[in-house]
Amino acid sequence: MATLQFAYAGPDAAQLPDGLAEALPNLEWEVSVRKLEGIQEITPAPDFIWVDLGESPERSSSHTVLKNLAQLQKTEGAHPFLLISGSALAEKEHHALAEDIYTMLSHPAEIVTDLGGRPDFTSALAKFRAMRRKGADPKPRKAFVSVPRAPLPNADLRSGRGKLSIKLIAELYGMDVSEIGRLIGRHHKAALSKTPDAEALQKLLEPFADIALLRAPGFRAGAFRKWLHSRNEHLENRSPMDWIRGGRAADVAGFVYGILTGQPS
Amino acid sequence: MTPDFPALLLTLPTPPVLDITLRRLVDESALTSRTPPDYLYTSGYAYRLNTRASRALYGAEDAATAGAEWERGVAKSPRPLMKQLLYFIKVSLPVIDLGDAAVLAALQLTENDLRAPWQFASAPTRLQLLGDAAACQTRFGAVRFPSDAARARGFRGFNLALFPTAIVAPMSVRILDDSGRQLQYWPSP
Repeated sequence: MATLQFAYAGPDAAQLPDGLAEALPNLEWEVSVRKLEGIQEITPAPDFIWVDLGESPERSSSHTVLKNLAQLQKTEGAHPFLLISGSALAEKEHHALAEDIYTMLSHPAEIVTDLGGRPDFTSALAKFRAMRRKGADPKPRKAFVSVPRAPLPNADLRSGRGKLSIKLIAELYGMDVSEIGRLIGRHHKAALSKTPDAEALQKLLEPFADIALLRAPGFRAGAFRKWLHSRNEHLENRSPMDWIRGGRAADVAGFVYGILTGQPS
Repeated sequence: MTPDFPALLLTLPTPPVLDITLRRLVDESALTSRTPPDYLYTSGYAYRLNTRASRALYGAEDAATAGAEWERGVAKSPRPLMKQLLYFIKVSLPVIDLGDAAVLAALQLTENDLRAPWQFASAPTRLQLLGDAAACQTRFGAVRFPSDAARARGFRGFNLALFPTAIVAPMSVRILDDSGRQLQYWPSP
């Protein structure tokens, strides 16, 4: 029974390249062939994938393929070794494609590229074997343990596009959007309402988000708001909200962030 | 009167390069609040050796000092801090050593300046102004200063304040993983 899965994906996907079948003994390898567009559908992710982008691939189509490959790399338990080939690229496109490959994909040590038109499959296979022999595979599939992932801190203060939202921050702090807007020097209420997660607000909202890092499963929004409004002996017996309303949100954020990062006091 | 730190720094002899591994203890939420985790993140908030005009990263010379600093923060926290991470920062750079009495004197600083309160102060302290001046030159990559938290616990420990704007090659600040792979690096490429 084959123990390793191999997939070849090319522009036509009609058949395997010459000599490939001989290099992959039946007893060891289970081989499948796909069209480039179908890469993301390969489940479970193979141990070795040869992606042949073909002659002069267009950047938009190779981009889509790489995006799908990146998605495949993120599949739970997946850890495919990748050989990516293509040919007849002009120098500028060659450079851009190589950059795309190593920017969009993870685990660069387990990627072999050959964009010169003569893919050296034998060497790629030798590298794959050497890495597996040395136990270099950092995520052996059988040993994969799924650990529940905690939500990212402050994820609830971010909009659907991952940006800090003044509206969500105002709700947490129990303040008006316009009041926080005034504190950060943004007075246009209509603009704040229209785009509460505007790029221009991100840096300005960071102190409010950093203060909110105090929240934890045992210290939720209610307790956080109570703390905001309570006198604090470490803040000259004023409440954090007093300082915030006095335009010193960055100092309160420094205080909180200092606690959380063990800053020398 | 505030000493003219930029001018005074020019008078200090360049010390030998300090090669050391610093320790930092941080809460998990602070590290994971940036994606991907940024071990060299400088918040831009004011701390003992910097105002908001400059950025600094702090680390302790040993785990005991990092622990003393951490515990001092825990005492101010309104909630338990149960999940902290200890990580190492490998540095190689010349430092302004405030543990050296001669350096302290040359910079017109006293022992009291080392412990002056800075949080919510109405004006920057001398140490903060020294840090801001250190951030604007490239002969020294960091300021080495005694830990007040360690002193309060009865032992002598030191911290370093690292200034990314002052760190130029061949100085280096590196974060490595367990296999020795470099995760982050200053000076920035």
